[in-house]
Amino acid sequence: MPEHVVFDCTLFLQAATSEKGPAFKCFTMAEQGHVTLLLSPAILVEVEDVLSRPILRANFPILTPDRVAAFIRKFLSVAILTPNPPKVFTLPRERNDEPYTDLAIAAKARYLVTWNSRHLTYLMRQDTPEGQVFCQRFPWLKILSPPDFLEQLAPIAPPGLPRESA
Amino acid sequence: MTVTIALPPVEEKKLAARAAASGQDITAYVRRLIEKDIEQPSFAELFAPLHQAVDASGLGASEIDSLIQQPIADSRHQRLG
Repeated sequence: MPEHVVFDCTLFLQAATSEKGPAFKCFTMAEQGHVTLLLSPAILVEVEDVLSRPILRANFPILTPDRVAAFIRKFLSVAILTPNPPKVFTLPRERNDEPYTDLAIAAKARYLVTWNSRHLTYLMRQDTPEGQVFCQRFPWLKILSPPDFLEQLAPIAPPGLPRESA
Repeated sequence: MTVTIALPPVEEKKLAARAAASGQDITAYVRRLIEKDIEQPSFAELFAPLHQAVDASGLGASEIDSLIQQPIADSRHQRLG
């Protein structure tokens, strides 16, 4: 059974804007069924809102509302949409990332994939009180950068999805 | 083209239940699932126009990164305070 994963908002935008980076490869892994992407309404709202921001449209007029809607439909088509989870862990450095950690925890995801080392992946080092508590309470959950996530999945990655360095 | 798929009993039971619930036999139901899947564009196909627009923009990696991070920050500031 494919592992369940949560991708943070940055990955959605990176995948949409470039096929060369690891974020796009992460979504390809989900599309091909090697992992199962988890989404919540709160995450979908954020992704749709960000993709619809005027600054992006100003730079890339091709990012029309219809195209954004198509992106959202595609994300949903490869994901399991779960109800917004309860708040179970307070992130002391960035509470706005909690919808991602809460979903990963509530849905028993194996991975939360993010570039955010200052607010999220640092928890895995367990060199802070919150990191120690997090790892003790949720030992199954690994918060990884996209390259580290792809490295973990390298044994099941199909040809054409090589390991990726940052 | 004919495809033969071996399913474990649990999946077979679920598949039969889904097909029955949709008023179709299993073959028609599976065929509809396949049609639905292959009609949908892949991420590569769907994102290609934007990928090309980004490539053609001449923006550097750091500029693209800023263009991604700024709307996230704006969105969170506006929605969440």
